[in-house]
Amino acid sequence: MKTTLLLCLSFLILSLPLWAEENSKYADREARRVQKEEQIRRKWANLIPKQNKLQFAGSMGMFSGSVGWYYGKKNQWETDLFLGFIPKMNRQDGHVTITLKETYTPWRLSINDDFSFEPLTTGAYLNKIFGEYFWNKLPERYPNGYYFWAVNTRFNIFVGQAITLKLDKSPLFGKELSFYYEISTNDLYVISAIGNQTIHAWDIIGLSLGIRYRVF
Amino acid sequence: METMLQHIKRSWLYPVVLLFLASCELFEYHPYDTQNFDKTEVNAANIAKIELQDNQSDTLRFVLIGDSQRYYDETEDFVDNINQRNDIDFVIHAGDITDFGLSKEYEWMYDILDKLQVPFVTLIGNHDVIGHGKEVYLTVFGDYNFSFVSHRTRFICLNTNALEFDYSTPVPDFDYMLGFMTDSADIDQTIVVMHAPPYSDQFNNNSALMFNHILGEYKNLRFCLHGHNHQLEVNDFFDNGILYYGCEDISKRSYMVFTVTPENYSYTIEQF
Repeated sequence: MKTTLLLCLSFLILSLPLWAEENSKYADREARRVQKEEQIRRKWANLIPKQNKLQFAGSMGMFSGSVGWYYGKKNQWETDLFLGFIPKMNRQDGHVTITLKETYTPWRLSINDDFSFEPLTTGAYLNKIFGEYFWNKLPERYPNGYYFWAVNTRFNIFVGQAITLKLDKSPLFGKELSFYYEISTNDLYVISAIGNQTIHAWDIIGLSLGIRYRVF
Repeated sequence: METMLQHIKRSWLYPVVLLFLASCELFEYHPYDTQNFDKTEVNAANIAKIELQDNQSDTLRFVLIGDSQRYYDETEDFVDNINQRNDIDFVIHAGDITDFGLSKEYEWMYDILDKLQVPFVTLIGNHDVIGHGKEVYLTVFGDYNFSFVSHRTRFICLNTNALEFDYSTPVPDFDYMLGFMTDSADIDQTIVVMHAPPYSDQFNNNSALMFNHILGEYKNLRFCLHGHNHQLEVNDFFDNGILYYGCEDISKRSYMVFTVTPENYSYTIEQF
């Protein structure tokens, strides 16, 4: 009896490190799992939009609102996805538009503690308008190649400037607020101006105004 | 109000206000929108001028052009050329004033044609229909089908861009066309103008014979005019002696001058 007890005890004592080993293996796995989860969360977190814009005019709607991201070493790149609308006017129906816009801002100059200035913003955007007479692919009723352009899709380029107000002094307001203007034109306007001296640069440009809000 | 204006003029606000007013047109919602137009019923205004002209002489002389789409420089030269002549009663543009149907194209072309010292009427072409182009045409120029009288001659201008309207609008509009079979106006003859001629890709060719039948009922139909094919053409589509004259596009720097008298008519092709 004694020996049996002793055997049992020694077995237990001897097996403790094994248990511990099992335990630490388990803890290790758990840590790795958490780490992995954290990694996945971080990756997905990058997809959370970091900024919003509200733009007036610019051949992409009367007003367009966006969610977007900024990135790059100096945060010089922005990608925004806009949803816009054109109101019903004259004989024309109202329309919804979507726009994918890429902005490049090479410099940001600090004016004082609160304000900074972006002397050049430039980029391109692709705009689609939805509506009965706006097709992407030539409708079947036409002979092949009858019209060469997609009526609902315009490719625009722009240059502009922006001024930025820092908001991060108060925890309530997010990171910063910017005001921008842009001068833009589109593919069909450029095609129209090419080869015509009567069409000048100022005939084919449009002006837009906007606000950019960076949350974090 | 006066004093306020004076005040603004003297202050630093003046350039700001000016800049703002100038920029209103720069705020474009979409290339196909119709927001920035202040010109309306241009055809009606020109027809009023045509019908006020001295119609006593029995010789009618008018110019036919077409397809000026994206040829702004050439159209400007055409306008200069016509303004140097004094023997033309009016100009008919047979359609396709725009290439993409964009609002700005309408504006640019209107601004050039408006420099003509003689009245001009403009038909709708298939390119002018695209997107909201048809709404711009309705706003700026007026109805798709219209008519007027000059020198005791009835001009009937018809929308024949059937492919473009895809059956949503009657093209050609027989109701409108039938109205002239019993023309109550005091006229001697009729001339019909259209953008796309019968048996072209735009025309509703199922209706071509009916179209021809109605035209045959018009009072002393002399001939028909069209654009669309971008080349000089004379066709007798229905083998009935009614000739269809098609003009070159404006990039070829030519226009047609028709001289119509009660006994006969002639045409010349002028280069500029």
